[in-house]
Amino acid sequence: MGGLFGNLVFLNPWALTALAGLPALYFLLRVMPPAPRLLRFPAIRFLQGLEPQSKTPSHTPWWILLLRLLMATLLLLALAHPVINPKNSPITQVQPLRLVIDNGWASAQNWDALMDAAQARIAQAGRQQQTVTLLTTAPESTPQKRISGAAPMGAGEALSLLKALKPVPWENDLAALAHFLEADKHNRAFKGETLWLSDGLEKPGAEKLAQILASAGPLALLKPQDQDLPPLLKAGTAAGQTLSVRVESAGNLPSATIQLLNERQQVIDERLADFHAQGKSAEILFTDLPESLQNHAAGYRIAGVKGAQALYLMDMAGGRKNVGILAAQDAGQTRMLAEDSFYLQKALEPYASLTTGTLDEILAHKPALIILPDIGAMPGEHLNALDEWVRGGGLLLRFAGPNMTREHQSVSLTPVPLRAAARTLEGSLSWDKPLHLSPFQNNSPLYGLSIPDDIVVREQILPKTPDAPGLEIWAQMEDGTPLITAAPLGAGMLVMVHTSASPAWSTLALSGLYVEILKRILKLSGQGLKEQILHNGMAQPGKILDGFGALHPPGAEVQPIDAADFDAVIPRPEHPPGLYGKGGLQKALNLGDHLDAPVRLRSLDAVSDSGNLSGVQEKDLLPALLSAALLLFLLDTLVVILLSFNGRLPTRLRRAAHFVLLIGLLSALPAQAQDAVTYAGGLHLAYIKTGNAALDAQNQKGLETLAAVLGERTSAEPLGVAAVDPEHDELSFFPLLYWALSPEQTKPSAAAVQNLQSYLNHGGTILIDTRNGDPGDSTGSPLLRKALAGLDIPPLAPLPEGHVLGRSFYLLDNFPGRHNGAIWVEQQSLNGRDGVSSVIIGGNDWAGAWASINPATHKIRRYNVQNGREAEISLRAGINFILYALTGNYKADQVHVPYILERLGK
Amino acid sequence: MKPFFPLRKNAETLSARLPSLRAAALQTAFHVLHGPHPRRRAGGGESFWQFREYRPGDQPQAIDWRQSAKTDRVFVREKEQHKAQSIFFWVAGNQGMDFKSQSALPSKKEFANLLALTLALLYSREGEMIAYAGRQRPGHSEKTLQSFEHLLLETAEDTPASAALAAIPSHAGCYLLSDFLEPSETLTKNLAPLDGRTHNGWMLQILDPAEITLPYKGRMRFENMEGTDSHLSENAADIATAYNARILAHIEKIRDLCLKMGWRHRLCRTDEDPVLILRDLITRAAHIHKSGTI
Repeated sequence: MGGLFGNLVFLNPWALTALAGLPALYFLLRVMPPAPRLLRFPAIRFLQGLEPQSKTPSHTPWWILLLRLLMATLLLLALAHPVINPKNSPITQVQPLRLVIDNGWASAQNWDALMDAAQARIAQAGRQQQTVTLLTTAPESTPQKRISGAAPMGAGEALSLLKALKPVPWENDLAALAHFLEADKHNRAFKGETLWLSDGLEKPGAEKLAQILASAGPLALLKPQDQDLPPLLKAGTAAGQTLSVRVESAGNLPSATIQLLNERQQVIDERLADFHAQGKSAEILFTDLPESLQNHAAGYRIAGVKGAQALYLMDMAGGRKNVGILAAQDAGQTRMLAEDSFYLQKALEPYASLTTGTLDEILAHKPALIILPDIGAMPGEHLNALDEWVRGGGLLLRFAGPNMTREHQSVSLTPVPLRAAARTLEGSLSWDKPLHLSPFQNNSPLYGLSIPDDIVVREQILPKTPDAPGLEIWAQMEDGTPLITAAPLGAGMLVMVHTSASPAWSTLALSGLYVEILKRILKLSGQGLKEQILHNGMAQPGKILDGFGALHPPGAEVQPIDAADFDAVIPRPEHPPGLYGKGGLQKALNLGDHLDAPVRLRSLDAVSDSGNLSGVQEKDLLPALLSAALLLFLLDTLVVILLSFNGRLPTRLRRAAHFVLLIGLLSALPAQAQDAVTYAGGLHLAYIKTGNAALDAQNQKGLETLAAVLGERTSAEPLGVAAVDPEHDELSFFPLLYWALSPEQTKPSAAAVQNLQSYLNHGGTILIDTRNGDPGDSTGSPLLRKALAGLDIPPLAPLPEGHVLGRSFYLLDNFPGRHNGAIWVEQQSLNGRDGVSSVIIGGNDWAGAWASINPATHKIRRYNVQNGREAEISLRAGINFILYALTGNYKADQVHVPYILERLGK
Repeated sequence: MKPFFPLRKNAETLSARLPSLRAAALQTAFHVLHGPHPRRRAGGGESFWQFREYRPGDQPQAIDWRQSAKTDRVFVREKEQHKAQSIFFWVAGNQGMDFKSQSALPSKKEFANLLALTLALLYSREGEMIAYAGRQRPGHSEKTLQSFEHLLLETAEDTPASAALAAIPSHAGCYLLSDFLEPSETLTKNLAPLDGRTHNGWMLQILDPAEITLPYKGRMRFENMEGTDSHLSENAADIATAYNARILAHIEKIRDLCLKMGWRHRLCRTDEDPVLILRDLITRAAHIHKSGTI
């Protein structure tokens, strides 16, 4: 059998014969009567003794029949023990197993599949009591670490060793392994079967290794499929001019995506390499990228490909260049906008790390570029130091300026000898007009920069010999006089701008061109220096690639490379690919540059059994079949149970269903949390749910009216009205709780009492309304006592004259609702709440009064409140309650106002 | 306890859809005795009966001063005694009465309660006294009706208890509502106290349609409502005819029993419209009025 199931084999095929018994089972199931339906029936007495004529027309529903037949079939199939892609039949003669694993760079791409195959084989070896020897083909960084040569070991040990194995970022050395095995050939323990997990690429020595392994016993080879062979990156042929890289593929990969990376390995851009169109080797150019992006380019990567060969690093990657600006001698003066160095700093700050100061300070930072703005004569030792630095590869950029002409001394270290005096193009004694720049010649490094029209040069210093040999003119004026000249000196270069770095002599320093010119020059800098550094001394490892192509700090075993023969170094354990160098100057050692074009491994004669790494796993179907049968059995049981209940669930199951429903309801709890968010968002008036629907509706309506009036007249603008249940709800959001008592008021539960007490203790106020006009005497009415049972409420007193409650917004003497009775508050002297009462108890049915008021007109709709004046006063009472709860004793001072006024009157 | 309100509400609704007993009687064009029946002797009625000389023990309020002023003696005004007919109800409340074959149908108990309360309402509006047999003194006040309803919902008796029936005075009206599925011999024995004492009785046999037709198929295990007895039928559809014959025979027996006692019998299926049943009962009750027994 092929196709979907691969090779399906039954290990116990005789069990399949039992399938013939299925029709018998079918009839058996048909004959078996189903469980009787149970029915409660009062007239059972009349059924006794009634015997039906026929007994068998009852039959199992067809779907139960199908279910059971399927279950039996699955069980029988499971007994037959089917296995997909079975491995070779168990070996009768147990031989040691030798596992050869290619762990060079090319394995990284298929490492997971390779590991799976190795683990599966070791597990199998464990079952067959085979000893295992692990051999790896790539050289290890230290000879001791090499697994090859490890003694035969048990499967468990081999597995743990295997798990520690990682691909390495260098080439396999098959010849060395062959050599090692050759030496061992005459050992008695040499015999054994071998599984070679290859990376699938042709390597020198493969044939020989295969032969030696085959001489020990049967040799099986597993390799990745062709499309899984890894592509690699090499230096592009156009690497000098533009960003380019070459990608080479061994397999029949249709295409690959090449990414351009910055210093942090982030993708800047990506291009598609189409191997169909371009062959197995394709050159990828990253042209037409903005220059700012190009400047950040630090490497290339093949997207989705693992391995050190898939990452190509560029030289000089990492870090910004150091630029030194030599400050003028009198730089201490703070004429910032007239200072040359100020303009240079502003222009270069985004692109380089700047050092401004004396020459010694600058040189200590090992700059790639040194700028001398308007510096004339220098001490001899400075000249010598600079000269040496330039000859060593440095780029010296000089700007002209008044200092160069001030004294009649020769200015050295310029590309060309200069005239002593500046040429003034605009002045009281000059006929000339300020000059513009002429376009850059195409041999100039500045070629391509656009020149704004408004740049004019008013003064310049002209060279004595404009046609001196070796002098490059990078920019010139429209009259042909040079503006920027350059000349090589040793490994370095001298560049001279013949006008000032500040706007003193030209408007160049005020234009964008100034920045662009500096950037171009900055880009040129450091080339010679790099060569110089990297050809002298040792390049230290900076960042090192691991086998999967990730950058890491180097380990102790990584050694520096002698810069002189850097290009000849082939990546190997001591020198893994990565960045080598010093400071910001780094050279890349790329694996791909040292690899031949990858070629698919040809078939080896010595290999007796070869296959693909992936998709050859043995799959035992027994557990899956058994689980399926068990599942069907459970389903059948459930169906039987349900049928026996005849659709009516017994009480317990119904309770369970209720419980499930309850869980579902509980999951709606976040809605309550949502309420909390709403309530916390602003002022809400709240009343305590009484459980009496009519009373609750009245409270809701009354408070809504009050809220509307509050918003209209005061700065307290309630967002809404909340009905709270003190047993469950969080109360802390509400400044005042309105609690209307109904005659059926019961004693609140312990949880409610606790919650209310905590609310009172933390500054809440409860307005209790007995709604009968009379809250009772100092002991309270029985209703009140029942409602407040368990609450710790301080001694109360009738509202004293001049209490803040009567002043908190309106001046009120009484607080009528539908009734006009007494109000009780805490005795002020007793509480610790700054004189604010925690409870206000009355019986005036305020909510009833408010509810009967039309909030739009403040007119009474019903007979409850006799006239408009009383409606108004009841609303005022409500406003005072709310503001009392909100402002506390803030208005207490007003209590004394009459006396103050009286005194003033006198 | 089941909710108090719906039963009463249903009964009120139902009774509103029915003609009063009086109207029903008029409809049948018979002048019937109804309501308080004059007893032709002094009593607590409305109409004048006779003047009688004051005797110690008479209430002073009863003195007719106008009559007394005519002579030297003091007269008391006596009114004719009116006595209302008492109607006794009894409704079976065993678990079997809770049976309903479809969820849309009322249970037999619910159906019986509805019929009983509606009848009680109709009677009490006519001024008759109603009572739950053996549990309640006859009366026609709202309070009586309420406690009657409570008794309907609470009482759970399997078969009419002799003691309860013995309390029914002779010539009183009597309604027994049950499925009467017990053996007719048991019923005969229990009804013995009433035999001959009143001919004014009704047996309303409330049955679920499924109890008559046995509309089930397949293998069934029947269990009585108490779960104490069960019967396994291999093919319920097969025995339906035989069962139907048996149950019809039983109903016939109950009817015979009724007729023997001079009572009336009606089979009430719970899928019937209770209005039709009650109309039927009222019409037939009117005929009874004609015969003068009530």
